[in-house]
Amino acid sequence: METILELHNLTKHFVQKGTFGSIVSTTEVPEVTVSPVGKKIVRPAVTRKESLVHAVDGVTFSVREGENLGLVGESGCGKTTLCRCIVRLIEPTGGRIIFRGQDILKLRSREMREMRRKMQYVFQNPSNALTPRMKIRTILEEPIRNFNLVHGKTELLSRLDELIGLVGLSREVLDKGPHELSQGMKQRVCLARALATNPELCVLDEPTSALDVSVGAKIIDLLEQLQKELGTTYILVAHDLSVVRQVCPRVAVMYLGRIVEAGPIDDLFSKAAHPYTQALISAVSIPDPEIRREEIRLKGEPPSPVNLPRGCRLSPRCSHSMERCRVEEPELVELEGDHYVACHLFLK
Amino acid sequence: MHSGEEAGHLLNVDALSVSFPLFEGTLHVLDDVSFTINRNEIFGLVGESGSGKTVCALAVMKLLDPPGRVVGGNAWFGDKDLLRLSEREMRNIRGSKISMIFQDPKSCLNPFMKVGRQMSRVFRTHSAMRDSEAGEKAVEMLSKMGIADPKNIQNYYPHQLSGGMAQRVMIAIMMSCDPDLLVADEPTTGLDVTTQSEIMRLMRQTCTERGTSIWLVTHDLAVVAQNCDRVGVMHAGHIVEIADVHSIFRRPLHPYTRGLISAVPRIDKKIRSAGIPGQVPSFLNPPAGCRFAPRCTIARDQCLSDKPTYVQVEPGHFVMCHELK
Repeated sequence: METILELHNLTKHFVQKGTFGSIVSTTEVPEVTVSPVGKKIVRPAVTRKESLVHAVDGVTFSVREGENLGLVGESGCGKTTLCRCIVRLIEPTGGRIIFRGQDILKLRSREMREMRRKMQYVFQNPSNALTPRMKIRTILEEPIRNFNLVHGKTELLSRLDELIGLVGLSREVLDKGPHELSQGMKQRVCLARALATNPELCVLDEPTSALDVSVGAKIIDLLEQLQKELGTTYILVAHDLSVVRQVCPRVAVMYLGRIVEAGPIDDLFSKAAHPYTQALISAVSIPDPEIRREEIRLKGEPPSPVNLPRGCRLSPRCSHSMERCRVEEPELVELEGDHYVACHLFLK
Repeated sequence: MHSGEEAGHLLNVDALSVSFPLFEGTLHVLDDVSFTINRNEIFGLVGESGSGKTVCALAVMKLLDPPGRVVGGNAWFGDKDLLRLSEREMRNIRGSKISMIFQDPKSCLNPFMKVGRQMSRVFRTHSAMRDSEAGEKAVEMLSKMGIADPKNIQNYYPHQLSGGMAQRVMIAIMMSCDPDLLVADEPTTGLDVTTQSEIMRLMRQTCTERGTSIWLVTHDLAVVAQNCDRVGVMHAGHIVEIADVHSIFRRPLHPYTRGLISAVPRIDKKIRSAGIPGQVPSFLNPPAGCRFAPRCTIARDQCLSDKPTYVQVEPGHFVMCHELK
């Protein structure tokens, strides 16, 4: 299988300016001015404290064609930021993104625009992703027109029909506004819009978390079916591992901006190596009262991505934490065929 | 006729009907909802969004906003019918006997007041306590809720807390008067899986210690399966199936229950989740017969015209479906 996307050491740091309360004066000399009336004004040299939010901090992975990758982790671990970096909706701070052998971070905006035809994005909340003043028809037409994908009106109309049918909606939906649709229908429209350009890669940011279970199940079903028909590769973000299980043969687990474990889904579920993955899996409730699992618990809450702990990022919460974990950050190493883990327990 | 005390019932909701008279017509949101909650049990009420779960909880708490009106039924709590109580009597029950936690904890906390102070206010309202004592109790409750640094956290404003922490604070407040019943409306929705299981564990543990029953309103069947003793499944304002948690998952009989269960993605095995066709029908003109009939794959003519009644298939397992006649 050909590699479609490679990330090398991708990093995104945000600069957080301090708020009013966190103003700190520097050691420089206070500024002294004389007002027009001759009064001396002393103003201390003030700077606002700046801090770095390590949203994505050195992520390396590759996605093979047709092999969907699931990206899981708690909220605030940088999943969405990573996804937005992949399609360059935000500029990464460092690293490389190779899409089909081409470093897309080197592309100029016009070339990048052309590239976006091949990589599409579906946002988390379908209600915010559709322009409220546009008819669904206009919403779906936009990408088709933008990239001149059809010639003539009849071709456009038949393409719209095809798209709306693809996601299992009826043709009447085209002349409705987003407010007339249910959440599930809106998410289908978002999917249709993403697929309008026949993308090779589609990044789906929590496509089901804003939906009811029964509606979410149908969307997941649709995703599977669409892949069979169109052969698009997905990167599926979720905080719920059970959603990923259905569509993705490979999963990467993210914690505080880093990939801590990645591998084939069955390996990950049956022999999760990283303590964080184990905790994450054990926290997922099984809809069966006969199965009660022992829960692996982590201490406390995730630390803030501003003040990262020294060494392994999980070390303050991990029950296996050793001396070495608090000093040295573990690298992602191959455990066995295609199963990678970043943990000192496995580094010899 | 009913008295709540019989057979260990804590809350006995009998034929509760709620409607919302609107300009366009009347929405018949709850229609003849009956169920009981026993002492020391966790009762789960599940259904899709828009099925009337929250309205049911609010109606029992007498917190329903106009135009919502209770048009019939009783809610026996002990020897009192909650629906017939005056606002003043209800105020004495809320908080001390029955308390409620909501989905979004941050919107329930006063954004201008430090959490410690909000907590001690509640303690002082319900018992004669001095300010300093109440403050100490707040710190004690926070640490019981598993908050690592309670002395510090009590001086935080709600916006400084994470979702999980805010929910812990809410639970601490709601459990402070040792209520008999805790109504939890989607307490873990919107939280991460890890936080979710922690919050549920915390709620279960505190309630078992104090002998409090929980009425858990949720759409998440996985949470229900792992935490509840008995389950009621709600669809379009009807409780279509009610049973203990084991029989409902082992032998779901109503087609809606079956659909819901099969729709939940599972982590332990790869199955195709099916989903349920259509949506919860409009409450404006609900289907005349079974309200699930338009979405049901096995609906017959009778389902479209006659409203089904409960059939008891085994002790304590009731199903509202014509198929089982």
